[in-house]
Amino acid sequence: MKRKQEEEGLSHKFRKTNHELSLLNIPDDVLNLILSHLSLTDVIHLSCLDRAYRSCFSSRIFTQVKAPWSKLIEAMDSKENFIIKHKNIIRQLRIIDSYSYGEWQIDFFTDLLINIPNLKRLLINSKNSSNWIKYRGSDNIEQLSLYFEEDSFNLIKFSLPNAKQGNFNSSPRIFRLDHVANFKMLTKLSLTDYHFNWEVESVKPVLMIHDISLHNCSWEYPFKLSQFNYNDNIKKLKLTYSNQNPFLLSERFNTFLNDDYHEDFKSLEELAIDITFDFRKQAWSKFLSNRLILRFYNRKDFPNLRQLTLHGWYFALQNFKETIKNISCSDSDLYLLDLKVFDSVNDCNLIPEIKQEWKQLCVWKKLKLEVL
Amino acid sequence: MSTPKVIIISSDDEKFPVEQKVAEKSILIKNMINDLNPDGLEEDFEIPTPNVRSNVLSKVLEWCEHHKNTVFADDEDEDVKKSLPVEEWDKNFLKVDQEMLYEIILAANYLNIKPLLESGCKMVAEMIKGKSPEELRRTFNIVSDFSPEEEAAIRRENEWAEDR
Repeated sequence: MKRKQEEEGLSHKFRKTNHELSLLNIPDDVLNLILSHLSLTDVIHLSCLDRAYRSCFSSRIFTQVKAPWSKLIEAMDSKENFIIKHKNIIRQLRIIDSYSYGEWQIDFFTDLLINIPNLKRLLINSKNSSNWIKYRGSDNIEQLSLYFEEDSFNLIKFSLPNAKQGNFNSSPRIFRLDHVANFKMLTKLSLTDYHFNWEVESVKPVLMIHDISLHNCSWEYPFKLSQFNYNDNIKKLKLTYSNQNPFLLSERFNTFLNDDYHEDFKSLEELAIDITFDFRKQAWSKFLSNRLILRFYNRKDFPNLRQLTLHGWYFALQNFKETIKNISCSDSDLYLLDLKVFDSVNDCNLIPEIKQEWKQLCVWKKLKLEVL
Repeated sequence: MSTPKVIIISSDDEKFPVEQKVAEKSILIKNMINDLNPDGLEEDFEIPTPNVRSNVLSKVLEWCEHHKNTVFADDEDEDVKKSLPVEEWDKNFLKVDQEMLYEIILAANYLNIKPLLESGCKMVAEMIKGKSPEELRRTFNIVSDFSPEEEAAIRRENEWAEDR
C-alpha cells in the first residue's frame, strides 16, 4: 500500500524510469499469452505508444507484412526501403492486389524476395490461372497461398498502368501442380477458387508438399484429387466449400467421397471437409451418411488417418448410435472424429446419449460433437 | 490430531497456513508436496515462494480458496478456452490496479496456476482490445515521446504490417 501511495505522488515523466511492471518487462511467454487474445490491429496500436513500446513491438508486427504491387515495385527500385530494413524479421508477405501485368512481367522473386532470408510464407492475390508462377521460384518459401479478392482489385485498378478495367474474367482459374515446381521447399499449399484438370501422367514435380488446403476448388473428369498425392506425401488435406457452391453436388465430388478404389490417400493423417454457411443465399445441403464416416475408418484405404473433421453437413444423429458400434469394432487408428452438423430432428437429449455411448464403446477414441 | 496444513512463505517472510487442497491449486506446490511427501502429509509443511510478495500471495491464495472445489476442464479445446469470457467472480476479483494485476499474473505463472494466469491475461487483453493508440496511452499512463516526423514515419511503416 505504501509503495502505491509513493508512486501516485510521482509525475508521469518520473514514473517511467522506475521499475513498474508493464507489458514491456513481463516475461515473453506471459506476453505471448496476452497477445494471443488480441487482434493484429491491437498489437499495431500497442507499437505506436512511445519509443519503448515501438522497439518492443515492431519486431512482432513486422513478422507478417502486406503490400500492394505498387509498393513492391517501388521497393525493388530503391536501395533503402522497408523490406531491406526489416529483412531479417519478415516471415510472411501478402500481396494484396491482383495485377496481371506484374505477374508476367515483374519478377519480384529474384529482385526482391531473395533479399529476405527468413521469408517462409507467401500469399498472393491473383485473379488469373497459375501459369505465370511457373516462371517464378524460390528456395525459401515453405508455404504458398493463392487466393483472389475482387474488392482490393477494384480499389487499386485505377492506380496502376496496364491494369485491365472492369470485365472481370469469369472463366475458371486453372491450377497445375507443376506450376509451383520451382518452389523446392514448399510444404504447405493453399488454393482458393481454382479448377484442376491436369492429366495423371503429365505432372510429377519433385516437391515435398504435405499440407494442402483447397477452398471452393473444383475439378473435372478424369481428374482425381489424389493426383495431388502422386508421391504419397500428403499428411493433411483440408477442403472447404461455401454452401452455395454447386460443385458439392457434382459427380466428381461424390466420386471423391465414395469411390473406394480409385483414390489413393494412404499417407493421409488429417482430413477435413467443411461446408461454410451463408444463410442469406440459396444453398445446397450436403448429407452425411454413416457409410461415408465408416469409409474413413477403413484401415485398408486410410491406414494413417488420425483425425477426421466434418463441419457444416446435414446428419441424422439418431442413426449414429448404430455406427458407433461399427466404429468400436474397427481396427483403425483414427483417433479424433470432429463433427459439427445440422440435425434434422434436433433432439437435444440425443447428444448426451451419443456421447455416453461413445465413451463406453470407443474408450481409446475421441468424439467432438456439436449440433449447429 | 488436526489435519496438517501447508504453510506458504512469501518473499517478505510472511507465513500463510492453508489447507492442502487450496495450496494444490498451484501445480508447482502440488508437485513439491507429492515429491517430498510420497506417503501423504503427516505434519505441517512449509514452502517458500521467494518470488511472491505477501500482499500478492494473499490475493492469489484468496483465489485458490474460492476455487478450491472448482473443477477446471483441462482437456478442453485450446480455441474454446480462448474464446470463453472471464468468469464473473474472477473478473471482480481481478479489478485491482495494473501493478497488482501484473504481479498476480507473474505469481500465477511462477506457481503454475493456469486458470488464474489465463483469467489475468484475458483481463489485460480486455484493457487493450479495440482501443486506439491515444486511448491506450491513457490506459497505461504513457506520454508519447515521438517527434512529428517520427509519427509520420511510423504511420508509413505501419501500412506494411499485416492486420488480419
